[in-house]
Amino acid sequence: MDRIEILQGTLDLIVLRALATMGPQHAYGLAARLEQIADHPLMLNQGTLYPALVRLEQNGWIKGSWQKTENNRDAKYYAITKTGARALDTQTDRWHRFAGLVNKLLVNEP
Amino acid sequence: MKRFLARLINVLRPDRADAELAREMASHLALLEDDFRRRGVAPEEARAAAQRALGSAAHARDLHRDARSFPWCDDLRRDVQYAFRTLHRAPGFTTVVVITLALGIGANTAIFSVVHSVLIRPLPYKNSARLVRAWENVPGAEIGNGKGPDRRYGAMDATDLLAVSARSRTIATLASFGLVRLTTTVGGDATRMDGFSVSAGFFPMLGVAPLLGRTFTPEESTAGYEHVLVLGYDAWERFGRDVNMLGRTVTFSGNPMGPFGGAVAVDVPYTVVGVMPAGFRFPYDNAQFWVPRVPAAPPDGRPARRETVARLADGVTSAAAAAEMEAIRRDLHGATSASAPAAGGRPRYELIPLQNELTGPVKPALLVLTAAVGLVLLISCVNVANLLLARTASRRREIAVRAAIGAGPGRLIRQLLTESVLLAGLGGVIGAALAFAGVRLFRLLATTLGRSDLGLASVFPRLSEVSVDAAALEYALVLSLATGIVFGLAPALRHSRPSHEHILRDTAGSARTGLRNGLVVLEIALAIVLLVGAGLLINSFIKLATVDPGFEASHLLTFQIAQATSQRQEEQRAFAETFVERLRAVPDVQSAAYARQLPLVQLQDSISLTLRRDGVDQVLAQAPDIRFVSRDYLRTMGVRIISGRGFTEDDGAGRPGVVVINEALARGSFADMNPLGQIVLFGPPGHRMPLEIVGVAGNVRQFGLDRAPEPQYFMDIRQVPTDPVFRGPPLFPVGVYYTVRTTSNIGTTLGGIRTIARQLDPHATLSDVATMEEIVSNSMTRPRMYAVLVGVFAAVACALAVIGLYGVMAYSVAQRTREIGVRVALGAERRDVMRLILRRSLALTTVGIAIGISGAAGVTRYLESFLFGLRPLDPATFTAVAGTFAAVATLASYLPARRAASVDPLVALRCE
Repeated sequence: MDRIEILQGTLDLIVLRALATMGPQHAYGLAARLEQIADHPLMLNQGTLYPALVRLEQNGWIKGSWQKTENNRDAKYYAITKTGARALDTQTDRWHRFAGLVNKLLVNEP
Repeated sequence: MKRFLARLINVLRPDRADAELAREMASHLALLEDDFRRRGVAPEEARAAAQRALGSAAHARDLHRDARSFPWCDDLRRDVQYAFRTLHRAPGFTTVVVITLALGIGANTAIFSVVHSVLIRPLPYKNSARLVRAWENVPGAEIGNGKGPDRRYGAMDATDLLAVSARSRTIATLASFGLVRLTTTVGGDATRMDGFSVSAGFFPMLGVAPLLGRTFTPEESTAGYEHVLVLGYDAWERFGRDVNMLGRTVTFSGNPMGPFGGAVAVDVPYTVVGVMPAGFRFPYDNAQFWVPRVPAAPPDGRPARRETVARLADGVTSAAAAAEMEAIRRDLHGATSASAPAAGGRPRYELIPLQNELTGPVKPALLVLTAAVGLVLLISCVNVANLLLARTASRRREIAVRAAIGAGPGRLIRQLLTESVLLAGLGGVIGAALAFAGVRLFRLLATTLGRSDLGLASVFPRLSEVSVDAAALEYALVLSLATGIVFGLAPALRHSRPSHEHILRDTAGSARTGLRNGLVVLEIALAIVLLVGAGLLINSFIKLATVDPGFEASHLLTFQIAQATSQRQEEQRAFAETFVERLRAVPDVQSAAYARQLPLVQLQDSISLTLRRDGVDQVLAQAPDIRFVSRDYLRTMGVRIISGRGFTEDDGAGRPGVVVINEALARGSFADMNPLGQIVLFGPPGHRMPLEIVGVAGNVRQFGLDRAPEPQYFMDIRQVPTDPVFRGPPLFPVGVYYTVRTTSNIGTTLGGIRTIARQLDPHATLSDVATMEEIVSNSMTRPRMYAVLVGVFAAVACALAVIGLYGVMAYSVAQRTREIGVRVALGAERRDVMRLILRRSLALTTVGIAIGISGAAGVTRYLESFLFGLRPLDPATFTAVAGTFAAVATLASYLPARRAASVDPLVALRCE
């Protein structure tokens, strides 16, 4: 059960993307979603999400608010903001270019 | 940017974010647990699984904190909190260190404030570095009859001045000024004011904007337009700070015959055209107004000199400008004067930067004070280093533990540095407060009567500008940070690499004890140097203060009278005669007199005397200083009559001329004869006036307590001719000085005197009222200030050194408790134990004193110019300092010694 080392900065992108597609989520919801995508039960300590969340919130890309879950528990839900959506676009773009470059290198120069 | 602010806010408010995170993580955990339970996991296991999935809460919290704020800031905050707690736990140590540093930093900041305000900060004039004062060295051959000595004038010949001003290319502007001492009436009271008549270039050269109105236009320096006036701020205040002052006229009165009054017209209205801002007092502190000076030849054809300030042209050195000035002067006077040799090998003109000219006299003293506070700071630092070393033992275990649980060396250094910088910072804050107090003390000590007639020697230049400014506070900050880092770094580096050895063995090595002893010896030596310096200055001051001035200063009141009308000198003399006559009727007045000048008034006129002996006339070798005094002056002042008599009623005008000479003149010129009865001739050839020597008076220190009495003679002022053909010196160049010997309270007597003055002249006011004691004290301002300041610094140094010694001794007793216990158990007596401890302290003290004394012997020669009546190696001072310090040091080590002597062997042996 290897853990995937998450590239510095990519976690922010993943969180933004998840919020953009799924709508407001709490930290656990996000973690569950990531595990689901990764097909991997323990991709990361869920606690490591928090630094990314606080970074994004301080940048004004997401906004957190306390709400009730369907099971009537208190949870802090994060929603993507307008600037967050814009940032997601540029970050996604940048990621594609970067990933493309890495891919090219890995494919063409074995 | 937005994130930066958010992080900054989180640095300042960590608790809120932490609480929020805790709540969020708790909810996260609950959701996880719910989920696990839903999947059928048992409740307890669900909780554990949830915690596993979330990971270490502490780690998450740390990561979160790093992300939301600045980790280093957070560390710093924690370090500071920790340091505060540590220091709080050792209040004695903290207090001593902080006070030690505060004294060092405070003394240095205070003296830096003075040095910065006086020596470093440029004068408050436009591009003031280019301003110079002109000095002229004139060979004796060019002066008077050509037989006198070379002279150095602080003023230029008026004719040369005009020529240089017109032709020079190296000098951008040349301006001259002369003192005018006049009286005007403000609200019915005659008010005397000092002002300056200034040439056209004066105000433009300084470039200071007036507060109100304007300064002079160039045409106001031409005849017919010159009756305009610029007031100083102080004078404007006297006129009630009237905003409608511009355009009003002021009429001055004064003695038109006097050299000062003669410079400008009196009894004509001057229109006020401007008011200068507060603090503008160029060229001297007494400047209260300025009037234009119309260039004119002196009326009697005698060469006139005027003080000169110049602004050098850009890129020109003062030497080049001086050389050009001399070339212009030679060109003007032709070859004859050019061939005269320069006086004393000096160039004809010397141009000295204005700031040097002004502050030069106090520069050596300020350097001495700077060195003194430097020593104090050094001692403070040594003391702190010593105290920090003493803490070594108690801290070592704690630091080893911190290192063992994972603090890296960098982290440990930072922690220890934080502590020492915090200590230094606290010291710096208190030090800055001390600096404000110190500067107040300095200004208090440096404050004089502020009278121009008492000379500039006692006035401290730029005193009004001295303050603790931003630069001084910056200096204090840098000083505290530097001391904090330097004295924190050494122990910090030492501690940052703890080994197991340190944890296991908790004893201080002997090397460290040696270092501490060395530091104490160094402290003592430095303190001794300062003590010797202070001792010399204090002894010198005592010698100066107890010197016999030649008059009886107590119960002596002096003053001048300002009158609203201009008076010729004969009228002044008649007024003074009447006034003094009436004063005698005032109860409490024992005797009253008046004179041309008083002792310590800086007004000197040397006029040669001719001795007529057996029909042969012979000019006395030395031109004695002349004093015109009233009949009762010598008696009122308490000047001793050594032989013969003083003046009597019979020595009035028209009576046979008489003179009283002083002892110095009797010794110098009448060594081989009895001076009484000899005839001397006074006055210019053709108008000689024979005077019989009727008495010899004791020497009076007329120009300063530190100046040896000079040959002098006294004439009864009623006999001094005022006929212009006599070309005698003016009777009252700075007004009449009155002196009154009272039997009681000066305040009530003053009221009586004022009433009489008003009876004779309804506008008359008393000015420059001072007791003779105040005048004498005023003349000692600087030596007193230096003695007090260095004395205070030396006392601080001494206290710090003694604290240092006490600390070392107390620590060593504590360390040796066990050993002492063994000694006592083996039969050592109290006496022996005390001797053991005292011997050690005495050894340290002796070595310290020996080094200090030899060090002091090497540096006290720099104090030579400040000393009066003793040599820099004064044995009495050296011995007294060594003895006193040894006594104090023994006292300081007596306490630890007694504690050592009372050690109970049982307790001592059990304690380990």
